[in-house]
Amino acid sequence: MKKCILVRYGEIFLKGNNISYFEKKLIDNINQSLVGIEYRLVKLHNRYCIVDYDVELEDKIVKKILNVFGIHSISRAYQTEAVVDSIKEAVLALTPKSGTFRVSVNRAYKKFEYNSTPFAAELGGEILTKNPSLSVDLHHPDHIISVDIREKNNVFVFANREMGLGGMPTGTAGNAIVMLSGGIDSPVATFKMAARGLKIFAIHYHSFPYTSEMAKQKVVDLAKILSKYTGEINLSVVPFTDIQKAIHENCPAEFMITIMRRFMMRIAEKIAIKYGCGAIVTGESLGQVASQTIESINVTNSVVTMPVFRPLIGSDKTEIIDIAEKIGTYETSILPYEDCCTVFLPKFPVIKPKLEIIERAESVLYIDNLIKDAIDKIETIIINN
Amino acid sequence: MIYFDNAATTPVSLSAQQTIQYYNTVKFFNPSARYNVAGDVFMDIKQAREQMANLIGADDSSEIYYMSSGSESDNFVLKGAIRSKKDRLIISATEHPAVYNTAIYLKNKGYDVQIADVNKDGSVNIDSLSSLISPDTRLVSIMHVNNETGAINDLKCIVEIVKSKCPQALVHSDGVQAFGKIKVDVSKLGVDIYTIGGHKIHAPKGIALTYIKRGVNLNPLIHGGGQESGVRSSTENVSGIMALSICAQEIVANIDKNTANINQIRQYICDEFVKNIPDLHINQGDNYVPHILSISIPSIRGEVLVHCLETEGIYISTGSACSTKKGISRIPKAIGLSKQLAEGTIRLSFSGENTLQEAQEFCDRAINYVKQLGDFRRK
Repeated sequence: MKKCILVRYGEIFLKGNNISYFEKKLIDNINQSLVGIEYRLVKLHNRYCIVDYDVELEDKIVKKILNVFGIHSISRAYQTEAVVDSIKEAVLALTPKSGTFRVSVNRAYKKFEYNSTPFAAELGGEILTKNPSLSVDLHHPDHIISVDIREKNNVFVFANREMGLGGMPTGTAGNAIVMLSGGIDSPVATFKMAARGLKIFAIHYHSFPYTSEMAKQKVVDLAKILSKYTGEINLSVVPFTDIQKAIHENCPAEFMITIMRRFMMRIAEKIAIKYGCGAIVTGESLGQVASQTIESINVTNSVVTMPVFRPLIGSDKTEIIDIAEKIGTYETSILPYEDCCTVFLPKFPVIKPKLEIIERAESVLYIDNLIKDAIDKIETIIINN
Repeated sequence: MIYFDNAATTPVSLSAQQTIQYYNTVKFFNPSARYNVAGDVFMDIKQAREQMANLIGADDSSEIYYMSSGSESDNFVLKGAIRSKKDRLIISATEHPAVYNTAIYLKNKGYDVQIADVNKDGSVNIDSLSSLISPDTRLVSIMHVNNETGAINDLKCIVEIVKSKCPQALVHSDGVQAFGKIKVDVSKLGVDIYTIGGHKIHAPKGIALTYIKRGVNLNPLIHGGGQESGVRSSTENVSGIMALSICAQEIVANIDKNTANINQIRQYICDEFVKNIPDLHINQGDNYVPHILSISIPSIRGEVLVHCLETEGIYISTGSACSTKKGISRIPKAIGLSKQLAEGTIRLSFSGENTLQEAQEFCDRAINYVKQLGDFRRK
């Protein structure tokens, strides 16, 4: 027998004829996450098996695989042949030290000599002989030892299950561009949409000298954390100061944020098209700040035709923070570097802007020129974990 | 490059660099080893300790203890002095985070910690301090020079008040921003414990010393091989200790010359700023070191000016470098600045290496930026 890692996929088992497309992406993503590690991936029915790896690297491999979207769970297992003594050896190696247990046998390989139930009972008996202090509980055991007899040379014995992130394999839903600010929300929005299979591109608006190089580095750091889950992220850093200055000089102060966000959306859509993205993702949550009221969202949304995904629109801040902590972005997000949205923040921003008034207010600006200048000066950073 | 952030750290001097190289490559031996060449190193440290004792007016070299940083020294003093829940610790509201946050840590653990009010220049308010001294006061920790405003606390007066109200109370002073800028004589000041850091006086980072008057006992923070008479175990940072000694002698020898030069620089900048920028606020009182200049400009945010100037190779600070990661510094608020002035506060800090020509160039650029930025403040 030898050690292996059983990998089960989640939602994609619902797919019909196109399941092979999703499986291929998932396998690519698993392989990508394990670059630099020697192993072999074996395809089984509805699951994969990682074998022939350095056992000392098992924890590292498991950690990386559990960050791959599309995986339901994994089990660290023994792989053996469909031979009674070999299976017994593997089961005994997993004998618990105390408490109650049950042996559960699944016999897909029908040429195996025993039926499931009597074989489970026999294996249970072996365990009790080895450790008489244990007792059997079929209904609510402390430990379940599972024996999965799939093929002649593929029997898996395991006693644990570690849950993955679920979702869909990254890239299966196409590309999207995320507006990554450096706050708490946008990394969480990124994570949630990547979990639905989107390949992530990111865009960040940088207002040097009003925001520091450290504020930009914070966004790079956040993208790096996210890339553990999403794979490589292409980050476009847009110099935004000149646009903010133009708005500040020429438009009423209370419209500053609204007009600024319209510029951000326009630029995001242009970059999205450049990279073949089909949607823009933002971290907006209804009512959280003045720019996230229905009226504000309507006015900022109206400058683009591409769909805008707002996965946090119905979430409250504590829910968002819980996810940020779970995915490891929270600590970086709360570093106190000012982001571009708070630069020139007016004392009284408009909460319910009207489209025609905003359009009239911004009509004094050379919008196309300002956008072209900003896009020409974009800095592109490729981020890998 | 124009570097006006010497209160954050200083470049390592040439003599210190040579000393560090020598004690890391030629005389690299562990001073506790039994062979003669190691004994030589031990003797070098002994000599450095004597030099430092002489420089700061200590009675004996056995009162000098080497540590890794001013922060470690402050932590050691506060945590080592406060032993029972009834011991009172008094600090001021403008202490460096190494003292302030250690005191807050002790307060959260249930110890009796009191914080004295400060004057508008950042120095401790003597009346407030005096009112807090109780018979159970164990330690009073007041910085010698404030790291953000340059205000000098009258330690001699503070020691007299503390000792008259509670003779057994200890007085510690963090002198990291004072040593090398003003003459420090611990015997004349009367303090029981005094902290000096290396990297503010052109020695490397990672070396500091604590003066502890003979007879004062503090619990160690770091236990181990018993170095530094058991007060601070750890293999000695020989190159750091030797470099500190060299730098300390150099800076003390040049105090008068440096101060005259820096006074000129400071005066020039103050005059130019006052002449060209309306409504600014220079955060200084009557007694200050010229090396630190705190200016509040209501029309800008300090951080933005810092970033503008860095594009020109000019480096200044908003608050102290140790606290800027936490957002707006606690100190401008403590000295009563409005939010607008607090946000618009910059700190310039000079060393003997700065020149009047640098001050002129700085003023040209900075005043120009302040005027530009004033047009873009929040509406």
